[in-house]
Amino acid sequence: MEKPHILIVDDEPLVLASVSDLLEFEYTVHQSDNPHEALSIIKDDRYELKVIMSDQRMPGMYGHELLREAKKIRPNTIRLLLTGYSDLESIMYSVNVGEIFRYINKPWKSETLLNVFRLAVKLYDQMMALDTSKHAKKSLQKELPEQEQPEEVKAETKTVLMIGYSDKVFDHYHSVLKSKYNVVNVHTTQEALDDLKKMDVSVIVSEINLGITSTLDFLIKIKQGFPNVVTIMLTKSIDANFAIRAINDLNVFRYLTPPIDDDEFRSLVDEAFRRSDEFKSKTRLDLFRSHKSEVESSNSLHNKSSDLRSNLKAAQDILSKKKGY
Amino acid sequence: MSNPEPSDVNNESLTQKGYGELIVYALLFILFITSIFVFNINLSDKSREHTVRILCAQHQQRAWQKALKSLEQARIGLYTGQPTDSAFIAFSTSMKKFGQCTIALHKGKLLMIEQQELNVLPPDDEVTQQIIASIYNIWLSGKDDMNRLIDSIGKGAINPELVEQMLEFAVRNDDQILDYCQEFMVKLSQLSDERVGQLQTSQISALVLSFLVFIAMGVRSTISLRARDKVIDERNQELKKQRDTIAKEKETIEELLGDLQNTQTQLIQSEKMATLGQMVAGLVHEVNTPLGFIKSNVDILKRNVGLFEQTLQENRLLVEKLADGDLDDLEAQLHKVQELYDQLNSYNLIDKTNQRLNDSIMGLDRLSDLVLNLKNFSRLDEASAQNVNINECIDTSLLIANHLVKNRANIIKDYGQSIDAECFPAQLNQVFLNLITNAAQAMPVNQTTDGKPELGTIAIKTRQKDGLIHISIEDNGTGIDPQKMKKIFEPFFTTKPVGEGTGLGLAIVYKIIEKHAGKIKVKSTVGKGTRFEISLPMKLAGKEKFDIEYSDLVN
Ligand SMILES: Nc1ncnc2c1ncn2[C@@H]1O[C@H](COP(=O)(O)OP(=O)(O)O)[C@@H](O)[C@H]1O
Ligand SMILES: [Mg+2]
Repeated sequence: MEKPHILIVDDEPLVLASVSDLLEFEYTVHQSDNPHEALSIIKDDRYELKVIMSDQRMPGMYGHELLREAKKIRPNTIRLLLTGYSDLESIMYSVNVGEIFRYINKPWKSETLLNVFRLAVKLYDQMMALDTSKHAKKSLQKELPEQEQPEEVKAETKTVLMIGYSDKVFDHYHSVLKSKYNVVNVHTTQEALDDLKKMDVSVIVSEINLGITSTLDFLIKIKQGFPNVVTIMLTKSIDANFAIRAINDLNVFRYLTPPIDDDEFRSLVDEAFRRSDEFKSKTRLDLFRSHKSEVESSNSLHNKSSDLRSNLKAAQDILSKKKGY
Repeated sequence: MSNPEPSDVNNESLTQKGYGELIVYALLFILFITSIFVFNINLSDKSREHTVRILCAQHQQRAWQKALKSLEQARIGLYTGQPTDSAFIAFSTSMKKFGQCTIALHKGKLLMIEQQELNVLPPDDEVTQQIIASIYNIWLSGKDDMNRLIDSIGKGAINPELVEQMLEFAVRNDDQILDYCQEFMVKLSQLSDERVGQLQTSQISALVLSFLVFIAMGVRSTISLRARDKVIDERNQELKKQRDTIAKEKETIEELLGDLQNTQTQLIQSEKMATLGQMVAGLVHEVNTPLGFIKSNVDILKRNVGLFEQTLQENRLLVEKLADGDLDDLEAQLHKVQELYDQLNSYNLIDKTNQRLNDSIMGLDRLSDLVLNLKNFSRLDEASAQNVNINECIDTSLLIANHLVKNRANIIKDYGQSIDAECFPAQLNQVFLNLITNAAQAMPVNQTTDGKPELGTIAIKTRQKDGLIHISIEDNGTGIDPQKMKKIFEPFFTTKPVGEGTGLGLAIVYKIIEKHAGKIKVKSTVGKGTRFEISLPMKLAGKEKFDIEYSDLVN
């Protein structure tokens, strides 16, 4: 089977060369040192681009801008950001605008990069499988109106768990969301855990500072136990390292700083629910493609050996001739 | 502070009032004095007239007596036959004199008395007038006979009858005339006594009045002086208050100034930190990129070397098998080797390995360059000046600013020869960094259709001339509005959004160039670009006056 296509974009050609050398055994690597050229590669539908990795600082366009455009063109392609200097602004942009899968700092570890790409390709394949299955389902249930699948989400179970907000702040967000969702306010990690077990929580909106336990560690644990939960950080405390971890380990959906427009907040929560629904349906898929590719590669090996045989014969002849002398 | 204007106006009107009053008093005083004088002069005129009248009256009396006596003598002479001529002549002269005096006293006339010309005026009070009128009437009644007698005396034909008649008239009226004369004189002396009394009273009253005026004036001026003093006191107090306020304000201003200076140093420090932060951000980027690919390349090399090793190993096995004539596994071994070679070839691994090695060396060179140049930046607060090549100094700044500049502009360098100057290199680095950063930030971020950003140009030129180093940094960016031109060196003046501009960059450039006794020229035209020209003395000792010139970007 054909190697997955990936695209790397960086204004430093030596970075491109190195990354491409690193990845070319496993992937068909497309590369560009110019974001605008990169966009035309993204638009080219001859290849199925599974992963795009971009530098953040480039002449003419920022990485997060390129990735936002990429999302419009290929919504399922996994987006990665590789950056030489993590200023907070670009991190926030990369989450909220670029919606990236991973944020990778320069200098990078080859092993990490390879793993991230493997993970990204896997995620992509899962997303595509979901899309096709959705498609299949849709064609099967054509008589049904094109709405949400009724058996997957029940309206009354749509719960938003808000962690760590004062009652006053909570009341405001509650009034914004209550028409559509069941909004719950908790102040401690224990309360949060209890509620997560009791209720079907799809979206968490969290502050950062929650007593003794590191909030982030707690949220990451929750993510491991409840992989379908989509997390939104809504906090005044912004910190670069924290944000990077939130992207890479928590897969945070949005990293927001108040004040935030009510309508915007509502639509972001809607989107978070949609994302959560996607995760739920995805867990039922398996990764059949990887097996298939292994089979295919062994086939190609067999093909090669047939012409090798004749070559070997010729070599043997030459050798035996020499010995005979 | 209190409002000073109304009190000023008050004081002014008060002073004016005071002067007006003084003038009134002075006028009154002078008036009294003059009136006394006028009165006195008037009185003394009157008393002179009086004296003349008394003199005239005496003459009149004497003339009468003499005339009577002479007439008697003449009659006796007539009867005794003695000569009568002299007696008659005496009579007629005396009689004439008497007549003149009487007319003079009655109607006023110029008279010659004792060789003195006297202007005799008729008296102005009724009693004396009546007296003199009576005398005059008596004289008038005997006047015709007298004239006839005098005429006859003059002709020498004397009528004794006339003499008798005349004598009889004289004797008859003698008592009356003498009485009248006496009365007249007494009356006159009474009048002059009255006059003296009047004079005294008037003088005394005038004196008293003047004294009163004087006292009033004194009292009034004391009052106004007091008032003045009060006003002056108030003024002084106000002044003192004002002085206090001023002193307090001065203190506050000094405090503020101190604060300002503190904040300014703090701000300069913070701009330094901002520049440092900017520098660090740039540097981190500049370091991490080569570090990234070098590290990655080393991993790739390791991987590739592993592959080469494996290929060599399998190759050796193949050779061994061929040499041993062990043909059993030869085919499988050949496959193995072939596969490995295929992999190497398909990825062009040998070439690429060399390329990655070269890349890594390039990356390492870049890193060591960076570190070398960083040394210049590290001594941010160097104490002593050094002799430094300004071109290298600029290059260091360019390197630091590279991450910002490369996306926005091409750098065109035109460096002159022997551009060494005694300076504080780290500070000059900051100057060049700020100017280059501003130039880069002045580039509009346009994109051409082929996706490449439209890069501006920053031209950097250095020259040495007449012991001065001339550095010009020119961009073809937005240019500076002429109205803003004069402000660009002010701390906090910025046209850039928060985060991009602190407004301190050029303020610091100013300070540093000032410290180097250099000069700054700014030439800018909106839409065309900006040129900053800096000249530095090659030796710091020869300090020149620091100044800035502003003008259009002409060429
Ligand atoms: N090369 C330039 N081209 C156009 N404008 C400039 C240039 N250099 C300085 N300026 C103007 O002068 C202002 C002050 O500059 P500076 O003191 O460095 O502060 P900052 O760059 O932080 O705004 C800038 O905001 C900009 O408007
Ligand atoms: Mg500046």
